[in-house]
Amino acid sequence: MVLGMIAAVIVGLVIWYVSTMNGLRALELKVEEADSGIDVALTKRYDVLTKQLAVVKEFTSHESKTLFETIRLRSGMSVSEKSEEAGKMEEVAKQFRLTAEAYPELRSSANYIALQNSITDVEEHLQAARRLYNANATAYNTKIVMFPASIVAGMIGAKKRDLFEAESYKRNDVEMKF
Amino acid sequence: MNEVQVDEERIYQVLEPHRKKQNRYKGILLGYVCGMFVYPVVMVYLMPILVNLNRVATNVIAFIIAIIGGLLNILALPAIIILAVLWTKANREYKKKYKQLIAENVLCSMFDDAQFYPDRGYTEAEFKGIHLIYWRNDFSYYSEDLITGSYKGVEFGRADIRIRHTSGSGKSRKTIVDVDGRLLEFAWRKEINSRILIVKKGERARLESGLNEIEMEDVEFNQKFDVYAEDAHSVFYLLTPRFMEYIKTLYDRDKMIYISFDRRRLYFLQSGHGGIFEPPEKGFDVHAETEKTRAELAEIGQIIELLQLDDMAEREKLLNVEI
Repeated sequence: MVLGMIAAVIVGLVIWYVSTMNGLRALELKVEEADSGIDVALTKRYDVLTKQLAVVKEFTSHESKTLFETIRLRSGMSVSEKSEEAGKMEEVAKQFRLTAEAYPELRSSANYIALQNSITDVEEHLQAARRLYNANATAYNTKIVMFPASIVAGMIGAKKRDLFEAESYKRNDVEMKF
Repeated sequence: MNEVQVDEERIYQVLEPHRKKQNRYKGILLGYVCGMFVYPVVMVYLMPILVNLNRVATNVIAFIIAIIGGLLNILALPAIIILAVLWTKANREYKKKYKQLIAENVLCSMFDDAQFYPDRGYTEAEFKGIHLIYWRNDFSYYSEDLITGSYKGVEFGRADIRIRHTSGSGKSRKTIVDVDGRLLEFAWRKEINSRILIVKKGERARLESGLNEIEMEDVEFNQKFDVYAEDAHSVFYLLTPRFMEYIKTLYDRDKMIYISFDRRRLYFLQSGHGGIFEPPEKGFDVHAETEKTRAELAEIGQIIELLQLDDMAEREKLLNVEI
């Protein structure tokens, strides 16, 4: 009888451990999927920026082109590195927009108008990817710190995930020139 | 969008005679029915007085009373039927005129290519195809007052929807209204390759295979709604923070909202605010009625602007390219 109860408790604990671990792994997978969604969105944005540069390059400043060339997207980047590159892309896009506003003939060109569609779309997709990643990462981070799942999280080495912050590019000594 | 002023004076001049006519028939019918019930009561109070009059007066009054009573009783059934038919016909004509004038005038002043079909709505098959609610075989479906048009280049549709079913049997049989509201439909121009369904929390939804439950970052939104989709990214793309706030506002107002997205069309099913083209029976203020209708229909433009469907339509127009 006592042995039976002990066995039942052990089995219960094992079941609980396995289900909690699987739950954590499932959340972790969601975070990783969302992370790769950010990669896709960043790549698309970079592609659009490349096309945008081709349209505005005659008008835009050397500094904007230089900043664009510093953008590097590679596999295995951390979330903070992606945030930084996203911030750079945002700054480049902003400078391209300012350039277009200064040159009406550029703003009214068919190529530029065509790009506006893509720019808006990729920015919205990046926002969605960021929000999805942060929602999944927050759910995962919350789960691994709450008792009793935190016990299993500690045993399997689960670590908190960084959130994807929309960082502004830190401009130190840049002057806008057209 | 057209900036056309509604000709309220003309509307009043056309509608008022119809309204008075249907009220007149209704008044006569009700007066006749009331007369049939009041008559015996009057007699009960009149008889003691008659008895005290002289014989000639008594006979004359009695004769008149008998004629009136006879006419009331003999002609009761045919009179009531004829009056009811006349009233129903006048009422139907009044409603039709009202819908045509108020609805069409307001629609044309607000939207481009506006069409109004008072006797049409979304068919049951079309509604079921949207997969908005869990469909029961005993549902009774009705739809009318279909509006189609475009606002800032975005096509839309709107119709009143009523869905009911009966429960119980015998004396305990009753009709339950499941939906009494309107369905809004919008053409969607952004690229979203996922089926999405948003329903009130706990509602039994009609889920197709491949739909998973998605949790949003908005805790309050998750408490009020269940979201199902094939792809989580598409949900976050569609449900921007601003859109979620808007949906929550609609929910707080109507307490029932279903949203379905089917790759190219976005659908809203909301309770209440159906029957906006129903005319008042008592004297009405044309300006107030047109403004009331306009306020109800303004929601269409609000949703289009909130989702920025007009921006996309404008850019398409500039490019003359279909996405």
